Amino acid sequence: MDILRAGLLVLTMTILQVELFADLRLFGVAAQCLLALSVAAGLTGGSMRGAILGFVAGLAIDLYLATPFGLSAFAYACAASLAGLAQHSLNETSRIGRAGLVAAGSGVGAFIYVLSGAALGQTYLVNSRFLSTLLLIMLWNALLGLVMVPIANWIWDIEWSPRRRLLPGL
Amino acid sequence: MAAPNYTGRSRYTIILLVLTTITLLTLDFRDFGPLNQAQGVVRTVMSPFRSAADTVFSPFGNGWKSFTEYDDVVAENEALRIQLDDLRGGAIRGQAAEATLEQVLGELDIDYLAAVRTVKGRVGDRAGNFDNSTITIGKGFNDGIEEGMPAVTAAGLVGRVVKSEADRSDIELISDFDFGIGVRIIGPGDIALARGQGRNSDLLIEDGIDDKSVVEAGMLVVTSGIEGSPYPPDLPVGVVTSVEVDQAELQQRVSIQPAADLSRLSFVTIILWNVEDVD
Repeated sequence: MDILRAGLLVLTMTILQVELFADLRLFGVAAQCLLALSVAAGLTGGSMRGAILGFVAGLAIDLYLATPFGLSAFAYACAASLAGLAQHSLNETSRIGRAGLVAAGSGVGAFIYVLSGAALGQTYLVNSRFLSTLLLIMLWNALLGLVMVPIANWIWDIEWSPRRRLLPGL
Repeated sequence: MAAPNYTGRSRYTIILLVLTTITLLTLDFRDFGPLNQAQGVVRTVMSPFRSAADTVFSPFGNGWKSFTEYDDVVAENEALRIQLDDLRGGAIRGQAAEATLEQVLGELDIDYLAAVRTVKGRVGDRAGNFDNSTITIGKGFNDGIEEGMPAVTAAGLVGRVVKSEADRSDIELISDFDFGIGVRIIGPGDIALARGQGRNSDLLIEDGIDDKSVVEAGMLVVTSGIEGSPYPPDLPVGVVTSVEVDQAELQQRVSIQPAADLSRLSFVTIILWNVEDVD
């Protein structure tokens, strides 16, 4: 039951983001678990499913951000969709490698978020701390990636193994 | 589960998502009421889950903060001790100066807000990572807060309420680029429009003060309270930090450091004051 699982996870992760991860900051930067989940969902489930989940996850966190409603949804959907494209070129990836992919995808997502926000007039998003924030998000989300990829596999009902193909048949 | 071929469908799905995003962003920018209400309803539905999660996770958050911010806490503690000593000394001097101060304030026609009702709210943690010009407090229209009301700390003006829900309000900070505020410089008495220049930057008055006016660093700046202003008069805004004369325009550019420390806001007070009530 993909939709039920995905909905439940997005709800849980939203609460975790707002009540837990928002407090666990390193140099003022927190992990973005919904972005990590979106990228992991794209990597494991493909572009379309990743984009849909990323969109919903982004809308959920947009409820708690002061930036325009829909901005995170757009960025997360783009990041998850791009991660889904990368999936096709990967047959065998180690657990660490997948965490690295989640980090890279998260970096892309955060970059899209800031750039599209700036394009929409939220110019304060681009500031002197932008690059360091981006790197710290990638670091945090690399750690989360170790957990998020198996969780994303659970959403799509894919049997998990640390060194197996992301989707059977690919 | 076999991997289905989504190539054709995914293109349309992604186009649909992009169109939905554009629609949502457009509605949000136009401040579309039903969308705001829907967001408010979802947040209200989520709030019991958040409260439960807060109870469970706050010890972890506090533990992490005490670990990662220990040095800051020690430094802040030290600074507060010094400040407390200064205040104790100041209190003694203050009693002697009180009568003089009252006389000066009377001459300057400053009207304190003692009779105005206020609501104090705790500033919520940011959920995101990128600096934004808005903060959120856990009080809303159930407490009498309405859009447009000024937010202050003991030091001075912080911003204004831009969105109010049942138990939550968003406050736009005075440092925001879109924030403009009518101010009066105590001393020369000039009235002008100060604008935000982004977080950690001074406010700026670009025009409205001619080159003949005597404006100096250190002068206090308060809200002008002129007719139609969304702020009550004489709220402290900041202190003049620098003055530049534009010889071509015969105007002075005045930088103002906000009186309130906008980077470390824990609690803010909303003044339950609405310009419509005054008019």
